[in-house]
Amino acid sequence: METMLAPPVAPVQPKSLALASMSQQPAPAAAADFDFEAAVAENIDALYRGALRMTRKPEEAEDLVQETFLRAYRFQHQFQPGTNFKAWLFKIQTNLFRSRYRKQYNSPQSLDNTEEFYLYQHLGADVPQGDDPAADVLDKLGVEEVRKAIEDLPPAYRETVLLTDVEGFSYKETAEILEVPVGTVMSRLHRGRQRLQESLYDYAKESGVVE
Amino acid sequence: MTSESCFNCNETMERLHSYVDRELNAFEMGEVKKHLDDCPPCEKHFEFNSQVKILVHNKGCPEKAPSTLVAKILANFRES
Repeated sequence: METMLAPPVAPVQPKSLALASMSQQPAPAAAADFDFEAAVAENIDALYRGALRMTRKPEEAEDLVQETFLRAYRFQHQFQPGTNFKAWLFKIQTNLFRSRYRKQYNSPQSLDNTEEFYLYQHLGADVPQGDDPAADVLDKLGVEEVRKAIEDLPPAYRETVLLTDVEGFSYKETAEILEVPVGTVMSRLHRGRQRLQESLYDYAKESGVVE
Repeated sequence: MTSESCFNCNETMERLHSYVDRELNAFEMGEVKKHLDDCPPCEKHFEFNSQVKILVHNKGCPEKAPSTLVAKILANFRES
């Protein structure tokens, strides 16, 4: 069990190759080190799924990802070789999201009244006896319930959960992407996961997984 | 039988998220593990929270980028 915990983080290193398909249009000075086409291919799914959960709309997600890569391409000289390129892209996308969705992002989003271990506590009480009732319910939860539970989270909590749990970034990397202290990442993760469990429970009830 | 953990149930639960994320230092990772090995209720909490994390990882974002998006992005590069 323990070996499955941390979702694998694919270390993304830009390759030191010339950008073949764009050799007619040389990129800015220090940029020759990047194979940008390869970088797009390697990171596009991660950026898109993140954008989709944050914007909740495919067209807006596509637009956000396009703008993210365009900025990355234009400002590639600011990337420090040897650091995490995927994290750098996520930082650009996060800042873009925050400026485009400022109102949504800045609306009050405190999760003070969440309950510790909500889902686990409730499942223990509601589910008929079995070997491991709580785990059985988790197995039955589908993509749709999990997606809705994530999208219910206020943006600051949602982006934290996505970066650590879906993308597998460490607390420190997440803190750098979001430009907040590590302690803030920890508390948002903690509260975010509590709220997520509450929503999962509600959706489990709605879909009949839990009576 | 190893020595007893220096953490009680409360101290273990306080560290549960960081333990699930493997973000404690080596000493605390070891002490939490020791406690979990000896305490079935805390161990169940740990198992459950690990499974929720895996659930979010596996089912939270199954979508892939549309195949047309790469072409749009590369075209943007050429125009910029």
